[in-house]
Amino acid sequence: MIENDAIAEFALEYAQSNGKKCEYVEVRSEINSTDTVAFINGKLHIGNLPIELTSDAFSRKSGINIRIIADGGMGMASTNQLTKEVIMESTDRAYRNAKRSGKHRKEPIGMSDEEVYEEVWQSEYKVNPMDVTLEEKIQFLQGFVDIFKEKYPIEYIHIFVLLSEQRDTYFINSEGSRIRSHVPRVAFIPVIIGIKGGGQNEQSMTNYATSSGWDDLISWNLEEKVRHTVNKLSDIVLKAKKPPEGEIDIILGPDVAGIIAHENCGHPSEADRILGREGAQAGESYLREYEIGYKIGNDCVNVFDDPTIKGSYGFYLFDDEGVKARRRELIKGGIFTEMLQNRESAAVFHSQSNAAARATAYDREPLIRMANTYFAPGDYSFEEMVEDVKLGILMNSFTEWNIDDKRLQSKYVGQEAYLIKNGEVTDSLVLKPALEISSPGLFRSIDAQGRLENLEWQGAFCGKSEPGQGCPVWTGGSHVRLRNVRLG
Amino acid sequence: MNEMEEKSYQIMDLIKKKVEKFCTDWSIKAILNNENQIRFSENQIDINKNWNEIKFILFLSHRRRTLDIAINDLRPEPIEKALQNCEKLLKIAKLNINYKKMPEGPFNYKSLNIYDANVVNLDENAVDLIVDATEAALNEGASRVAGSFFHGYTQVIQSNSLGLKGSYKKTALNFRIRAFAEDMYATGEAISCSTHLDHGFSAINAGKEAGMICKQAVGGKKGKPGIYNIIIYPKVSTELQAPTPSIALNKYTQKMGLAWLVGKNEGDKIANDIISVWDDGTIDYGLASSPYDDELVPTKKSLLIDNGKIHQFFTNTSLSKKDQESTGNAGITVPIPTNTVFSTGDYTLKELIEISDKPTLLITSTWYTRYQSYAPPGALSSLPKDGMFMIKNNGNELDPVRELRINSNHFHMLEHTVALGKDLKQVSTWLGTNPVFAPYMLIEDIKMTTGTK
Repeated sequence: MIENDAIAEFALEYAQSNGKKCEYVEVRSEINSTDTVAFINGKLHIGNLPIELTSDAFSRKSGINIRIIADGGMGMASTNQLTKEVIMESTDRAYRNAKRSGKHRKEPIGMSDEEVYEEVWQSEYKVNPMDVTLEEKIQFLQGFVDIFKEKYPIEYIHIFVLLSEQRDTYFINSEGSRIRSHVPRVAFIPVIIGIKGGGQNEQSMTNYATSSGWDDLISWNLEEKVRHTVNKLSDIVLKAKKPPEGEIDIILGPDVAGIIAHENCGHPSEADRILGREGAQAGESYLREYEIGYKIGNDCVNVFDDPTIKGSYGFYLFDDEGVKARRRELIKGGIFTEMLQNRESAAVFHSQSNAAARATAYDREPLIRMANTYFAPGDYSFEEMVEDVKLGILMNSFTEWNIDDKRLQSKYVGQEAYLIKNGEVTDSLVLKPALEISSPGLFRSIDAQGRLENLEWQGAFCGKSEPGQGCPVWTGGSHVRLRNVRLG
Repeated sequence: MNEMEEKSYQIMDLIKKKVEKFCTDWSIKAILNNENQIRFSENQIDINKNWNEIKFILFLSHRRRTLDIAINDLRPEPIEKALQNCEKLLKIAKLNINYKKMPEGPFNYKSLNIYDANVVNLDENAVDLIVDATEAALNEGASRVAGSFFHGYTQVIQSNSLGLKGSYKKTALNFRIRAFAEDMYATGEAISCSTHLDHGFSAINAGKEAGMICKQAVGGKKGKPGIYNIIIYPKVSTELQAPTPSIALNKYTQKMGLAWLVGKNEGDKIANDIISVWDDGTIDYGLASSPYDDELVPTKKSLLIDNGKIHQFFTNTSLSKKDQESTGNAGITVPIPTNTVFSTGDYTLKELIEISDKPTLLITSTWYTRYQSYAPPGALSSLPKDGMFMIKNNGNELDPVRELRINSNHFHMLEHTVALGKDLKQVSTWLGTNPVFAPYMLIEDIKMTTGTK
């Protein structure tokens, strides 16, 4: 990394020399590595995977990203050819691009005033997943493959993906910040499809992910969790029955609460969507029509996002614009309280960045992203939530989901879901209950959030923008209860 | 030879010398990129980006133990370390039964129209195209626009252990514009893409189209759930129709069982008779066209769906059947689609609207297509994103509607496609797998749902 640091310093200095008039310059040098091993239907696969699982199975990347604001416009150049000649060429290009773009802006781009830091930070771990041998990784995955040596009443397609990565960054800017970071991450992604003839099938894709090292991942008793999924898929395919009609109550398990916190609250709270900057990519936000202080849900609704949670998949202490990370309270007491902001959006709103700028590699611009988004713990035990539900369902997990580009109309199809009758969760599995609901409709239906002891996290890759950036995040929550909802 | 090429050849030589020592088969592909993206929103340029990069994609095999690695780190020591790691991995890896060998050649390659020097020289004038397109959209009634414009140049240099070598250059233009009316839920999107500035590319026309759609979408009301005929714009096919030929007809995904065509074979009926589809890596101005694939096999125009029946799966050499040649779609480990090309029909959009005899929705774009399961039938839902219109009075009125969701599966949609437009348009969308050449399509009996609260 050190040899790249010198070239980063050179780029920063060069960007401000030879009469170039830059309002802001930042240089981010990165080294990114990824190792992916998979078993596909019991066979070891070391290579690229189809579908959306991963593109470059093994990759080694190193390069520099230069962002410049000049004449009110922003230019960016990225290169992995770390010679002074190419760096000068790229820097000149970023400067020219910035000036050219600035000519077509009514409002010049600015950056909010933020503290300058000189820091070194990293995630805490004992064993770096990138240092774990392939033999050990294969042995780890083989344990899950062996689950399918047993006999089951249905057939399965099973894919187990183990994704290890490491990101090392050196960030410097024209204001004097110098921040170095080191974060290895690992994710275990089982994809299991239970199939019975006649088109009956159920698909599960989960993500167990951490920034606290290999030792953390293997301590989670994952075989038991996967075995549970395998058995549940069989039960769902063979036994699940149509969901009840009419208005019912729904208790969402942590998996479902987490994805809702992410999709219905986290994304619409991103200031770049609100300002329209993602209008042609990830979309805008229904919150564009409202101000901070808008009452969107019932008083009990609290949704936060926090990058500083140790071990989390979305962990960081400084963002990719050098701003110190902190917890963001997006919805508090049912009120839209805070946006996710970077320095560019904060300058527009005359506020401060809350350190939401993230890039996935040196060749990507930092964008406003979530980190770990969750329904904050409430006052209810699970039993208290269930006891006054006359007719409802408990939706523990989900399969298909989607949401429109304003993040207003969403759909979550339940997977492991049980009928609740007269205050008790029954053994009756409910087949694909579809919760199709608007974001305000959803937040205004919530009357209870579960306690801290039931808070659970799931790993995910949050996709945004173009070129796409799959950002590592956690989504989470404990149980959440919705009243008087009609299934789609 | 420019400095970038020189550097690429030097590194290729270095890699070649290393991998020859521990690999029985190898392939090295160098990708030299000089690409640009301009992003804009609120009628202003947000950021103007340039990527100047060299990337190496390696396929390595030792006695059919295989791996793929992408190397963007050009420093000698990390390359050395990465290759040492590859050697270790290959010693541990198990036999890859899906890999047999690489094809021997020699091959003859066609000359394709995929390179336009005007695109390379577009440089800073690209901003002017955005300004013109923005004005076109605003003139049609939009109040603001957002979008992105990718333009650039790629050179691909390849060599492999059988002594095959190749190099080609291509350019790309991909312009997307989304127009917004005062009413923020009234939007229209259009795209224009090609390899050449003067063939099938017009940023201004895209701006006009997006502006017109957004203006027509003003005042839309929540639609009623039910069964509708739908007429889809070409770009909607990237999510609703193309996944069958571009994902499910991939020989590898079929083998994995991770697609809705599991259990289906050549000759099986999966679509209406009017549907034929090709994978065509040779089409002029196609964003995914190239003279050869990752095995240096010449790309082809391969019929995948023949009048509604599966004709063949696209494949590489190793996954080909004994009596079958590669379709020129390597990925050496996993085949990759090139350009997906649909058959055309006889209808203009106006005529498609006229012949639909049931309640019909005109859908100009979709997004966030998600599957309940990739296993058959591949149940999915997809969200119309921009202007969606209820067709009234035999097409003389387009009534904007909102908040409806498509609930279907690919079999149903292919089987119920009853009429096709007469013109193909190249579309490459953010969420699609690969570039698609598709006409307007009329699809019958699609279930539309909406939120209940």
